[in-house]
Amino acid sequence: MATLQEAVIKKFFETLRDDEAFDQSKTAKLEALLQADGKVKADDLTAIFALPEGGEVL
Amino acid sequence: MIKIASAHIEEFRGIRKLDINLAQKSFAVSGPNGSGKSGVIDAIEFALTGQIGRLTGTGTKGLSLADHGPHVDHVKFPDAAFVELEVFFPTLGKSAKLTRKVSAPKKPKIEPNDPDIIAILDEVAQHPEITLARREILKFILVEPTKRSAQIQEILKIDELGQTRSALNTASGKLSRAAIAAGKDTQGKKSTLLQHLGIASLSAAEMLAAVNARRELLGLAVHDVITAETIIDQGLAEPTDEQSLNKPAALIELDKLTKMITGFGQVKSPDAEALIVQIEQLENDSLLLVSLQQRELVERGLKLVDGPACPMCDHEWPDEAHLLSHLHEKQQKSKAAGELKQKLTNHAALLSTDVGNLKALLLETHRIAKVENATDMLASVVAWGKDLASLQERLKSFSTVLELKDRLTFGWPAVPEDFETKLIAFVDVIRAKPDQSATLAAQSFLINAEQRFKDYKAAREIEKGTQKAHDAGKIAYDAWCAAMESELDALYEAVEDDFSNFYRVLNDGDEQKFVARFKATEGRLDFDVNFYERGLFPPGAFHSEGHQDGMGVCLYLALMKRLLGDSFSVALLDDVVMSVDADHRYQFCKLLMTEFPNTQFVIATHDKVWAEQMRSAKLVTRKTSMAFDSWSVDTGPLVESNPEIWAEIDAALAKGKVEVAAPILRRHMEFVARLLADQLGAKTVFRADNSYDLGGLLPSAMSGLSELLGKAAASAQSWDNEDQKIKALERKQRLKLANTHKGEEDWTVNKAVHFNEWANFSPNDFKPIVQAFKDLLACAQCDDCGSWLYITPKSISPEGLRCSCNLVNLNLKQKPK
Repeated sequence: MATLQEAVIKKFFETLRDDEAFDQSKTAKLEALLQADGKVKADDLTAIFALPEGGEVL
Repeated sequence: MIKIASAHIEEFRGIRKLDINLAQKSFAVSGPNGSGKSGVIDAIEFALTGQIGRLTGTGTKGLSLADHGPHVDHVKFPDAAFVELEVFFPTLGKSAKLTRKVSAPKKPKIEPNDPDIIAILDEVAQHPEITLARREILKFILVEPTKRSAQIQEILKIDELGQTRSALNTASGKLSRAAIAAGKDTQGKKSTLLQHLGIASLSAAEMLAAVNARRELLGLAVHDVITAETIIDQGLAEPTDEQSLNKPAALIELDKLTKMITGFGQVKSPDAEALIVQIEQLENDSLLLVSLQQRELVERGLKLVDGPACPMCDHEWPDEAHLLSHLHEKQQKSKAAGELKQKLTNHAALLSTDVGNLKALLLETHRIAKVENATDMLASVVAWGKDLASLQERLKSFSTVLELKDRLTFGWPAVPEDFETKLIAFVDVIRAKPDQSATLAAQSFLINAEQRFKDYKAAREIEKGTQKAHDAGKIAYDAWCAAMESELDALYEAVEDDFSNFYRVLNDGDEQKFVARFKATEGRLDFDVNFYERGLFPPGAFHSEGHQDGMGVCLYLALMKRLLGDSFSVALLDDVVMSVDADHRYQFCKLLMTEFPNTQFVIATHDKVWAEQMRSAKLVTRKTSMAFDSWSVDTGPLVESNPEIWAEIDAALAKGKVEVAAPILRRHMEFVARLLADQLGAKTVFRADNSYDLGGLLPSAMSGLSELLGKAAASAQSWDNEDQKIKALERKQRLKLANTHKGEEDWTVNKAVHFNEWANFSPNDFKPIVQAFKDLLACAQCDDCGSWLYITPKSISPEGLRCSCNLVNLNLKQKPK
């Protein structure tokens, strides 16, 4: 049921964007990851959360 | 939206060749167990989706479409096994022929090759859940909340949401462990710095006192303040290698190593102890170990899944969702083993930190030994350091941790035999060195202090980073759970409203205040239902099996309505509502017809009474139902061709064939007697072996009907309802006459019908018998809709006698006096 899936993802990112404690550079990375085909892997998520504040320069 | 007009099935499952005219309407297939009716459901499901539900999921290991889809005599020729459907598309106003072969389940032939038609059929193929079998029906109702959640999410195609939640949770756990390890490392570095400075806390006052004392001695400007940016040895020239040994600092480091080594013999490591216990647990429980090994394999497999083919064995699954569901089920089974593995991994990680601390001290010793050119000590430190590095490496992997039992039992540090002796000797050598000059000592003190201060700051930065990563992971996980919970709550709210409504329709006159509540929380779905306004309970707590059966179907329908909406145009129900009684089955028909008027139901049942009720309730007609009489491996199902029983008997008698007419009449009477005894709540002698016969059931049913009509007349009298009274009395009188007529024919009935002595009768002898039965049975039928009468509710105190069109609707309850 795509609409439900989309609704959850939309709400998820809304919550993250409203959260000042959450680094927004990570939000963009998460969006790209969740939009990609295939299953989301824990290691990919770990790598995103471990990125420095504001993301990497290179 | 689609409507199936006809089906042609060949060499598929138990069917050799069969044509069914569904006429775009709901259709019933009945027949005894093993007569091949489920093969029809399988065939239509296969044609529409390319899969057969009964060959996938739990308990189907070793079964496959390729091997078990064709008829058993055509296993080697899957090309011969195919299903062809004529399908109508109401929204397009077009028709198409869909042909799917077992040899190419994913490549159906669709004629005409119309993109709109192909798009609709592709959409239908994505929904194997259009089939509901009896074996699945209670899985929504009686399962554990965690499994219910998974199964319902799977049917709603939202299991991906659960997978993402699980990945976020795993990531959050990993980051939490990393943060703990980083915190421990920071503490270690802080302790080293404090010890070097010889102070109890890192307050500015204490640090300034310790540092400035040496700076003053060296004539360097004192620090006024000390912050994280302060360079402790600022202004000091780089020392030479010769000068770099600070005797007191070196002795402190060597003392720390000595104490740590002594401590190994006195205090056992709690993490090492825990690891030994867990390894033994796995050694003593071979099944647990096997389960764990399988879990590892499954986990590796899960990471590699990319499509319907198993990444490990190349087995082809109907689709990726089926494969994932199979793997998740296996993963769930090994949950206890997984938890043990998690504990073991955590202890190994903590022990690895201890190993790291020991390595850090050895590194200091290495530096000192190198400065002193103490080659023997140096060699020992290097050898032990390599051994510890190897241990640390092995602590990283679960499989290698299992090999460490002996090492852990005899002491994980495995201090080399002569290491302590060498260390004592080395400490003596350092201690024996002449005291450094105060200047040299101060220089060395500041250089080392700066290095330790840097180490500590770097560790703090790393810790801060890991903590931030952990916080981010936690925020994201919580946000996902909250979003999922909120959306699923809204979904379940809609489903629970539909479900409650459907269940109330099913239980017309009973449980009218029935409500259900779903509560979704992390990975589980609790489900409670109201029991006669006494509160909310799990469905299995007080409701009967029949009610649970009804709930299963209602929940399925509610989910399908939510999932497919207007696209819920075909549903294949295989032997469902079997525990639901006759009265409720009529309501079930009403539910399907009123709530799903645009859905074409194909219903298979082994119960002839239920098949008759579907016709009686007008869910299907004689033209849109089919009965299988028997089955053989050579012929497949044998279709019972009996649409108009009386016409068939008359035709046989017209040809003078009493031997044909008599068995037809007998079979029909046996069937109707059983149906009426059930629907009218006939009083008969209970038989545990269920061996009721016509001679016992028919009189009980008819005398029960007479009694009910008497009650209806008395009730009508009490309510002053003259019309109802006349109707009841007229029917009662008809019944009396028919019974008398049948009684007059009993001598022939017994011989011809009960004892198969028809050979002695001519058609003219037999015709009065047929007429007697026909008249008698007509008394239990509605003159208009032809349905068989039934009592409601089905209990020892029924309140009404009805037919399915309600033309007969006699009240049995008298007006209270």
